[in-house]
Amino acid sequence: MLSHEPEVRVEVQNLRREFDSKERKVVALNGVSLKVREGEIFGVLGPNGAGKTTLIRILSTLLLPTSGVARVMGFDVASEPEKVRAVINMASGAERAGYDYISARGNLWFFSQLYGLPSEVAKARIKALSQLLGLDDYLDRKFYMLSTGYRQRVTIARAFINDPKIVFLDEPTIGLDVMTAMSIREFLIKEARENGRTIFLATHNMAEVDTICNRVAIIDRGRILTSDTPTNLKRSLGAPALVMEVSPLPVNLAFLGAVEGVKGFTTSVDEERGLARVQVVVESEECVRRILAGVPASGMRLVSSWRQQTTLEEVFVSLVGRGFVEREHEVGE
Amino acid sequence: MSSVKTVLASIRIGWYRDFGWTNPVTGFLMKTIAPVASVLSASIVYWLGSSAAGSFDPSHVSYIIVGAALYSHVAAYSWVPSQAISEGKWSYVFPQVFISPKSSTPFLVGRCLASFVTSTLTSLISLAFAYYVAAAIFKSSIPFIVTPLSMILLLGALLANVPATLGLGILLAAYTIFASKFEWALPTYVAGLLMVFSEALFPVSVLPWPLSAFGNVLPFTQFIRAAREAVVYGSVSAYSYYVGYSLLGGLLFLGVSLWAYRWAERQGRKKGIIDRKVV
Repeated sequence: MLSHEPEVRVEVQNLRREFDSKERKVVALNGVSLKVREGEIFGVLGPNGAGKTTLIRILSTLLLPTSGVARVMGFDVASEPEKVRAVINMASGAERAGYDYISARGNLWFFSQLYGLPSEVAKARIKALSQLLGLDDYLDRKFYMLSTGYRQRVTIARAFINDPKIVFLDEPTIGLDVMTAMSIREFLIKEARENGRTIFLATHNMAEVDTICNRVAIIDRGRILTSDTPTNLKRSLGAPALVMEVSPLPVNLAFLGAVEGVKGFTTSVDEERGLARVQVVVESEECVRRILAGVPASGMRLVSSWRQQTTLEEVFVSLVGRGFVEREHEVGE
Repeated sequence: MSSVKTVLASIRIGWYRDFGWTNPVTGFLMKTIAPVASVLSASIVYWLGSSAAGSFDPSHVSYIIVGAALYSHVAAYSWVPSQAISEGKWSYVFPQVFISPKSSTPFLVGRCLASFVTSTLTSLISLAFAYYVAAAIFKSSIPFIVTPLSMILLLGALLANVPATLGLGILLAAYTIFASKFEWALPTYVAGLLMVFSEALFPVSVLPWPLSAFGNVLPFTQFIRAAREAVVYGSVSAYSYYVGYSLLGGLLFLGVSLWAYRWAERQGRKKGIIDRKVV
């Protein structure tokens, strides 16, 4: 635990990044501003294509911003990349950085040398990290011989090899089994709490954010929509979400747009049962009554309904009006 | 200090990468096959042609053996920085190296130097092997100076050529930062051009001007000339001229290449292509 006022380690002001494609200009980040402090696990939550990876690429000096300012430990990422690089590291769940025909230990040793670690320090660090991540028995196996989960553990170990003050993680547990994901999350919590490390986590895994993040920023189409602790964000919704199963397919949910107090909804179709599951973020109990009355009036049958404890997905739906999946489809189009 | 550590670690990782897929002996033998084959084929083609014309000259065989072996040497390690980037983009090693404090230049230098050592050994083996095989096949004495001094001079020429080859490697690496496909193509084309312009198999003076002038100013041409002086002709003064030219020209070329690479890195960050995969 920290005994002093935590310092600001990442500060972003009005950050914008555009990409030129053949057909059009794509705005990946549009006026993003945020602050992240020492010892904090800060989540950036949003659907695919929201701008999370672009933000991490800029902060880790892989990409230059189009405009705006981003500082890491007070150093400008655009003009002082060497100073930023000395205090950060990063890992991506989609990429397993390492040489296939070299052992996990050999790969970790190589990356430690990029940071100028003395050999003894590097060896001790590899040992300590491998114990924390359960890698001890796998260190001498060649990288390609490791399972996906163990390769990801090596990737996470690599991201901490230089004792960085800030670690940027992009979907670090994507595609991992539950136990591996859990042990990586426990490791991240320990690193932030005990070593005061700042962990900047980009993910679309809401449960992960809910479990480990001190604060979260919800991002969509390159804009930060809101930022607070997961508890405060969920509390801000007021009433628990309404979940309804309605039939027959295809369902007509146009009436929801006209019901006062509906903040947004998501739909998933269960073809086998011939019904649609609709999750509606509501403002009040009165709103729920209006919705339930509106279902038969719109020619649908209400199969069942219940209230659900608020999750961050509902927070997203309340801000955007649509769920992650629908948003990803829209971005894809 | 960290740059030196990165270079040393990259040399080591380069060797592991080259030989880690098998045992070191097999790996090394595989790497020796190509230069041996290229030296022998060039000599045999000359032997067949010149014998048919009745103008076979054993000193020409020495000329070809040295040129072909050392051309293969330059071609083998000049494309390693480019390869390190393209495979590094694929495996995501390159972006990780890029965001380390000293960034990617010491890494590319280290990978190139690792290959320089391997390629020097395979080239020397090719030279020795081709010399004995050619003498046996052509049934004639191939002029070749093998003394401690000539070997030191040859090694000196190989070392003097490092800045030029590193410069070529770094320049190709600058291109590879932008490459989105066929990243292997340019080094292959450049190797082809080098064969014509570096006096590997024939004197550049036979080329029409300005191509001959272009060949003459290349540090690689001077390097191969210096090596021939060391082990075929034995003129120390000519050797000194060529090796000095090769070293100074190489350093100049390396300086330009490093500048070009820095520019490419900056453009890469602007365009967002440092971590873009090559297809």
